[in-house]
Amino acid sequence: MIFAESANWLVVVVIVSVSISLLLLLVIFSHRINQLWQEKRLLAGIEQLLPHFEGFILGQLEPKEFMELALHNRPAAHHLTLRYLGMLKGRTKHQILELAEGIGFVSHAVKNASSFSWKRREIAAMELGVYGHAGAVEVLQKLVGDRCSEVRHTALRSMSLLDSSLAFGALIELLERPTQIDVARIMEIVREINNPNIEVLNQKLLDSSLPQLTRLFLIDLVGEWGEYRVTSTLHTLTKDDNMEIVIRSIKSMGRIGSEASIPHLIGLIDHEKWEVRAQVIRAIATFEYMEALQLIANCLTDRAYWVRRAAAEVLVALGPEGERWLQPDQLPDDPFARDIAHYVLFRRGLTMEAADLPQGPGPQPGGLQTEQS
Amino acid sequence: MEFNVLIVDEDELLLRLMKLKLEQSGFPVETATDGEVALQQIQGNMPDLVITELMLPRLDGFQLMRELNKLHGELPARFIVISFRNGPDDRLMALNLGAFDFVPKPLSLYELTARAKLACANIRQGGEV
Repeated sequence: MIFAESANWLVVVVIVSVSISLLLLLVIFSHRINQLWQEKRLLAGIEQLLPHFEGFILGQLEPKEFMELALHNRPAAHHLTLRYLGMLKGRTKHQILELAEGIGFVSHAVKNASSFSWKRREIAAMELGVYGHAGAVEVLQKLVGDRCSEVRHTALRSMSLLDSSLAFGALIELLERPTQIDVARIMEIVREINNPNIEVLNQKLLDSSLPQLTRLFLIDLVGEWGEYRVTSTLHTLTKDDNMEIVIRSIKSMGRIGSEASIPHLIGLIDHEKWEVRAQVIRAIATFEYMEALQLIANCLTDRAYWVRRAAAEVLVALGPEGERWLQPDQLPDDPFARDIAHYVLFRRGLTMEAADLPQGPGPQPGGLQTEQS
Repeated sequence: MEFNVLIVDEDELLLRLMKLKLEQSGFPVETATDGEVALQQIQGNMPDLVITELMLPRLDGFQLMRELNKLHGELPARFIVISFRNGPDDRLMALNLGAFDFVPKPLSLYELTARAKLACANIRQGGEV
């Protein structure tokens, strides 16, 4: 009796399990079929719309006429719009963007940015970057603070694609306020920007209310980019109260290599701080400005060891023309200058005659008190 | 005088568009989607101008130019390189290999056409490639 009852239960359980499995399989299968059908439909749509899209881009088809065709084939038009926008620029891109706005793709992406589904929000963030619409900055700023990490990172990347002063400013501001995105990642994205907005960049560089780390990052960045359009701003920064800002600005001036900086750097060679003088010497050397060799050689008698050393190292690095200034006949009659010249030449595997080495304690370099270094 | 153009790019959508745009400007255009096919096409029917992407399957843009330099001692046609790989090193390498011009992607179709015309004017002025 008990056995018969158990067998009945077992049969019921098996039937229910098999039914559920079959139902699940059916759902998965129908989903896949639907996907394949959608893909097939999209491909057919693309094939149908492509010649018209090309005609529109090449000016053979009136925008109005094409818009009507695109409205009847929205998925294909959407797909092609995104593809073309990613590979084109200039007048053609502008033309396609107008179309995207006209059909409502941009507003659709803005709407999707507040969707419940994170995947939709991520796609919206990606699309807004591709469209490069100025109004997208605010939406993307919100998405950078999204609860989903994929959305945050896509929004950040998209912000770097927007060619607007607003987007660039917003991206820099992200460095200043805590977000869930790693600051190093934000820096990486900013570093990759091809065409930074100079007005915003100059403004941010001079903004003393910004945290020091952000300002230092921007100063280094303009040097890395070789951004000569901020040269005069860097000149202004050399008057800053913060020594680190002054030194990094000088370094970036050297990396940028704008000749307009040479007189400014020469003017700083007598700066009261040894750190600045040493950096000025290194920056001048990057210009390979031979007329400045005498000025650098004069620094061999500087009152600070690191300035003398920077001068000697720079002269060696400049090759035979610079090394000439470290030879006994050219060196000033100063034991400290001779000592540093010998030391640097020795380190580089070059030599100076032993007779020219300083003998015993001599006068203070440059006849001045040695600076604490 | 007509100048034959060969465009090499893996992206068929962009390839079609560039072909149509250049044909609209009066250039007879051939296309290839990978480096090896492009090499065969160049060897078989020497074009006057080659517009090539650097990132190509089987034989990339740099390899294509190196092969042609090896075979002919120099590039046998004017080369305009178009690429998303457009860092200073890539540009320098392309120019060192004998490329006439470098147009970074995303590209402007109008700019590409203008540069193609410039390359052809250069052929006309300089005679042989």
